[in-house]
Amino acid sequence: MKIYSHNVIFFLKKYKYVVLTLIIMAVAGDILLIENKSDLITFFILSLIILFFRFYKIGSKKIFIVSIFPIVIIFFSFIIAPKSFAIEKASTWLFLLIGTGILQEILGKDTK
Amino acid sequence: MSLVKNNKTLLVISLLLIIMPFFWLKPGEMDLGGDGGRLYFYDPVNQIKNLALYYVSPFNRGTTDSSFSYIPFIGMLVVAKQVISSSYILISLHNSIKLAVGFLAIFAIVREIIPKEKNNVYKTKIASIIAGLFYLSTPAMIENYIKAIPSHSQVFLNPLMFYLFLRFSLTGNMKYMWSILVISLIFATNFSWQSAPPFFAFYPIAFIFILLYVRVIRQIRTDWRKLFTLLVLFFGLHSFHLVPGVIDMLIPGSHTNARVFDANSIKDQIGYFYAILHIPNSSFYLLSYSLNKLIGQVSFVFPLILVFGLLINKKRDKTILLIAIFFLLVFFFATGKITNIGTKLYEFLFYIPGFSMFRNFYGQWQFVYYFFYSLFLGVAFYSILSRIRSRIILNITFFAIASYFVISSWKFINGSLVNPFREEKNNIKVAIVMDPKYEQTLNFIRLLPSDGKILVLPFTDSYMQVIHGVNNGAFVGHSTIGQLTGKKDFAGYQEMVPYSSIFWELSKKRDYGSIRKILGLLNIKYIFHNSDVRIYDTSFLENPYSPNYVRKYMPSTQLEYKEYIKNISDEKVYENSFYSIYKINEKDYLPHFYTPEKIFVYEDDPKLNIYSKADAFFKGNTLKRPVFIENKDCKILLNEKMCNKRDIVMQDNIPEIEFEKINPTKYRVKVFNAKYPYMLILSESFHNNWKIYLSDKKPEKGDVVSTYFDRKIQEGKHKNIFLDEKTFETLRMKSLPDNAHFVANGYANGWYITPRDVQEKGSYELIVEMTGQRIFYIGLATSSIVFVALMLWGIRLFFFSHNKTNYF
Repeated sequence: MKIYSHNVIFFLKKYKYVVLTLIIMAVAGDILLIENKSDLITFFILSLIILFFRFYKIGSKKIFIVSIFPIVIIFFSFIIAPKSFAIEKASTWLFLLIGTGILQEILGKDTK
Repeated sequence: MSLVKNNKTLLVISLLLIIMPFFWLKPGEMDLGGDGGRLYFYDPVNQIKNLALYYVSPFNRGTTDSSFSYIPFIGMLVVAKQVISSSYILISLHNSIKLAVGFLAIFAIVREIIPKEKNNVYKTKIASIIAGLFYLSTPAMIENYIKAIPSHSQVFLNPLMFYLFLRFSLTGNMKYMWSILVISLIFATNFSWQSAPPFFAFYPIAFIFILLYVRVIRQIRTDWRKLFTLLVLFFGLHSFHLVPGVIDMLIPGSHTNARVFDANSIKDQIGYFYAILHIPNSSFYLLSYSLNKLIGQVSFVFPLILVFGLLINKKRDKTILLIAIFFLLVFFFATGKITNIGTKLYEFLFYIPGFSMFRNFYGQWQFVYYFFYSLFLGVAFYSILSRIRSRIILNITFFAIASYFVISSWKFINGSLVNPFREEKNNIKVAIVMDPKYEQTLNFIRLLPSDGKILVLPFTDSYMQVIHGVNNGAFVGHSTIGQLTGKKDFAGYQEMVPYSSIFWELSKKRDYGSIRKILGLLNIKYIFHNSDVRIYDTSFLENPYSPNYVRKYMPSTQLEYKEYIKNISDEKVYENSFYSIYKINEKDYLPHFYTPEKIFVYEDDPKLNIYSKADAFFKGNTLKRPVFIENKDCKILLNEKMCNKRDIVMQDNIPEIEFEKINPTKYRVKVFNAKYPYMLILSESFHNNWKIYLSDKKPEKGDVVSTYFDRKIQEGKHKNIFLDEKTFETLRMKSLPDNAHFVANGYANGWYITPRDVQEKGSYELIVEMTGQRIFYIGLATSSIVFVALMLWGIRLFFFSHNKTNYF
């Protein structure tokens, strides 16, 4: 069991950017591909973000970078399909990501 | 003010904002209508007399509804009108204050909370100006000027009070406290129960924010003693309207009590919440985007600024984090749909007593939301600007964003949003120049000796009245007659409760005899008819004269209305251009006070809604002087055997009565030759606080203006005395027993008076009083004392204080 968990940790550390990219793609996928609002999926992805950002010791600022993606999606969705449900989902994701980033920042040790 | 002294840009912007509203309307025009109505700009004297001073409203059946909070603002308008007689100037000035003060207050707040750094004064000013302009250009700010309700003053009051309280918390300077109190008094409506939703949406959150900011970020201890003093003075100053409001909330069965505490009512509010949940879009709130479709997409820059501001916040400054938290909080409240769990949580909040006031959540939270958005934007923008060294780039950025605001708000700047077309095809706008002939008609109504009520035709779906001006504008708002003349009026379906449905049905059938009886039961003596075809035949074909509602039942043209009126009235007593007044036949009319000859007992049908309640008892009978009472009340007053008979004839010797109005909450009724028990009916909306007292004064016949039923009922000369030496005469008197008080005719007040109740006297004087008014007098006395103390304190603070520093 111990060897197995070591292997998993090694794998995750080795493919850090792949994992993070997959997570961001999961956010984009939830916004663009899933037609209905599913809290299960949303909070599952959000938990993965929190988990892996802590695992990789990534600062709160990176979460704010991720939150730019929903804004970009909103911008293009307004041009292509102004009434699409994706715009609302992107807004929800923006809210959640900013909230998560702020929480992380407040809990961070070097707050002024 | 040093706020603008050394900043030419700020001064220029402020001046432009002050001047701008004067171009929205033409001189002489007034924007008065809408749900709230702003007739106080037009005729503040009569508004104060008829709307603000009494616990009984000037509308329809005289429901108990206090508008005391209007007194300070309308009082100021009365004074202002002596100097500036033009309503156009007053309205424009009011709008100027909203814009300029709103902008300056946001500027001042952002400038205050941006962390002070050397050599960044210019960047701070830019960020603060952008925040102020952003605040003014948001949809909540620019789209609600048309038909603005009284609480719309929150657009400038919220930031102004926030800034004053912030400065008070930071400096402890009592001049800020004084200013807060005085401004809150002038705009007391925004701090009254009528404005409870916007008040409770903003102030608790603002208060917590300031406390946290001052304590955690500025690390200044809160002076709780001064805060407590502020609270006590605030309540003392506002007693005149808060105390009646609190008491009304605590009375079981009152409208306010039901909205706050009734569990069934709460379920209705939750249902309403879900019904409108689909309306607000989270993205619309985030982007705050422009009305100009060409540049609307640019608005995505604003959430980007917020995110970059958080990103660049390398020093982990807590200010932006604190603002961001509050921003997210109000975003949640304003949209109601941040995930399904968030929506469910929102639903649970409705079980907190009072939270159901936010059932129209997106409308009530939007102002708070954009306020915090502006602060967040200002601080985030400063974070970005602090990285830019080049002054040229700073200026270009400033002008680019400022230009965006101007272009995107152009429809607001040029007045199109404030004075749009009501009816575009007929070129009818919102702003009206009042027809002098209508003003003459109002004056005639004011001088009518009888206080019988007025039916306003053409009849509307709700409670609105339409008046076309002498320009291409029309007033559409709450009926003007009650508010400006003191004669209560019925202008629409919602006001005819409980006869609304039956009135429509009888009108459709043209059963004129029964219609006249209903008008009598509602104490309607006159019919006002506005025969202008522009308000009914050629325009306003939908709202407020919908083809699915009022036009299905009432006459469909002005010509048909003339025929209709001919059959329900007796004679025309006035005509002036489009405006005519008719009197109904005295055989059908039941005066404000009357003694019924016949009692009809009925069983209420709980399945009937409030608009159809009269279906349970009104069968179009033609007997004179009836009263309809529910079986359950009859059994309390009389005996079961009599009540089972369904109609009871009163003893032949019904006493003679003579009544006169002292003011809308107090009447004197002189009774002569009362030998047997009788009923006395007051045609005002039933309320437990209507009480009868036996006066020890001997009744003497006074001046009589009208007589009815062979002089059995006489109407004396009416007055409108707000306060005199007899105002509190009933304090020492005992009222008639409460179980003698019942609901008559489905809405009115009735009393069953026996000889025992009046010490076996045959002739005596009764005082009928709405005791809720006394609470107002007590509150007014408290407020007056606190006000005088506040003024004396103000003189000492500003003129005799040793501390001469400019506190802005």
